[in-house]
Amino acid sequence: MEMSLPLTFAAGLLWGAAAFTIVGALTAGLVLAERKVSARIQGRVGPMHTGPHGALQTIADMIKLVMKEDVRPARADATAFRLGPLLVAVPAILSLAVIPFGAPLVMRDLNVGVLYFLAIPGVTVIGLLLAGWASYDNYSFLGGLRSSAQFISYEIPRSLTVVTVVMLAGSLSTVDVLDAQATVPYAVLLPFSFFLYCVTSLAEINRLPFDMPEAESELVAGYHTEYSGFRWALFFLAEYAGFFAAAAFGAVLFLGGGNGPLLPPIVWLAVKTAALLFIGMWIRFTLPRFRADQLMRLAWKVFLPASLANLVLAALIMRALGS
Amino acid sequence: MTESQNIEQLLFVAFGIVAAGGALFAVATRSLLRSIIALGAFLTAVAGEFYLLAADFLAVVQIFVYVGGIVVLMLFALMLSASGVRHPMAAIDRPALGAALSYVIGAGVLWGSLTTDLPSVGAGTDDAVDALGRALLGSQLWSFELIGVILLASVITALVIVRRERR
Amino acid sequence: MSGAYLSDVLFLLGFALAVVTIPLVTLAAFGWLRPRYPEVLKAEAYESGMPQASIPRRPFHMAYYNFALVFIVFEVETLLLFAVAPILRDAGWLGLAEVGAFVALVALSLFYAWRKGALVWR
Repeated sequence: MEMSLPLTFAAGLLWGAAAFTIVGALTAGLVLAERKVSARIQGRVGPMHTGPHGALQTIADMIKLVMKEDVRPARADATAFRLGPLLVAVPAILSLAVIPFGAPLVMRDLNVGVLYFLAIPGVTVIGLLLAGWASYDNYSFLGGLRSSAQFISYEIPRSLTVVTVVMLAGSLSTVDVLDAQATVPYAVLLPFSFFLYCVTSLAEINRLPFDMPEAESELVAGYHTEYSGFRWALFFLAEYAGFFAAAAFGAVLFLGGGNGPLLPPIVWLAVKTAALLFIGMWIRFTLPRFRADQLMRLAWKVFLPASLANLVLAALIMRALGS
Repeated sequence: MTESQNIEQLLFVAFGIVAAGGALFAVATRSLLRSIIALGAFLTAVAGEFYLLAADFLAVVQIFVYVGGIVVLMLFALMLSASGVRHPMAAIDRPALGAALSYVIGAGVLWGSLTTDLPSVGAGTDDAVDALGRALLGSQLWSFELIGVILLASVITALVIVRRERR
Repeated sequence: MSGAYLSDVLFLLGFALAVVTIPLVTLAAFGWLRPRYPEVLKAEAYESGMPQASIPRRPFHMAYYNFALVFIVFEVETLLLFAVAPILRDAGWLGLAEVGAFVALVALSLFYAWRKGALVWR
């Protein structure tokens, strides 16, 4: 069963390349989907010119992005400016390594997979801070600080919420969590955890209504104000990688991932992930944005106590039902 | 020696070199920003060592708390105080005394780790996470609860210090 | 035994190597095709078209630091809960009470920080 070691390394390389490619393709797809969904919600038609119904618009955008000039402000710290986007994009994609896509497609089943998924994106914060600081720009600086403060604030309630899932499954491995939901998905057993996970995830990946760090009316574009071309594209890629990872992980933790009748696991996972992604887009174009202080108050004074209470409640119910 | 042991040793040494290099760079550079980044690299390499030593939970905790927490805290400190921070290495008043002290401490750690009889890697159990959980609720219960008290104390201390600094 | 850990590390190293290399190679490869027209004004920091009014290297809100401090404490507490969570199902009422005491301490820390105004965004 166990692969030889050089083969394992090669498998890692291959999966890494595949993950990057998939994320790139997904970003293209999601951007188009998001523009179409937003257009529908706001009574517009969205991109229409490139390809049938604008289907090739993001492909054109991607080509444009890699061909663009790479501008760096004169007073920027060159090393940190280069390191920033990499430290944002790489962990976002690395976190995908533990998502079980279905029987033959589990990249890696770590003993501590759930924790790995929560820990690795934390490195992103360093990238955000570096990018904002290195740019030597007031908007970038403020944007970097705000984004990272928001990220770490929502990381606590999000992790505490996932504790309830680990408690019920009795394991930190993503595959075990999936197997434990063979009959009933955890969204049914832990509805409040599911809700908390979705909301805090939206906040952690900086999406509306929690996209304060990029509030264009006051911060221009936040930490990536000074970035252009491919380096900017890396931030964009990271955002959608995070969005996708949060949705796929949510589908695995709460919706039973690939479990489902008839269709192969990968299809079920795709359907459930797509449903969560759609809800995320729907929320983005329906709700207004929160203010910075409201965001922080929500994280520490609403979601953190709520996730603690949820944890206690879930433990008591689990004990009382005795399963 | 088998092939897997060879690879394991090679990786262990490689992580060690990255860790030592990062640590050296962190104290040698004059830029506080680079120092913090090097510290991040050092901590990540140590996490790799932990994982190789079958302490996977500890490795992830290392990334979670140190790379995603402590390093971020240091960056916040650097960025919020802007030019007001000197590199800690430049703030030492008596370099000779500092160097002597760190040699003594370093030698002590080295002596301790060479003379202590360490358990062999992965000994005892094949599920470290499970064993950790059982220990925390069993034989190490007092440590578990005490950590809670200590963390409460650290929140209080941190807030008291920050409050005093502001005045 | 340690074989699984070794292959985990090798897999993740390979994974990380690929994910780091691809953007770097892309960046280098398109370097040949990218235009390069350096200009003094282009290299200025963006400030809505005006010269930079103040430099972004000045002391700033300590509130961020407060939050980061409290964050680390709660993070450690969360990780300890992760350590005991997998075995809580068959730990009985006693195990539940033990973890409950810990959660009470976490709640107390939160309550203290709250009362002292450390969670107010200024």
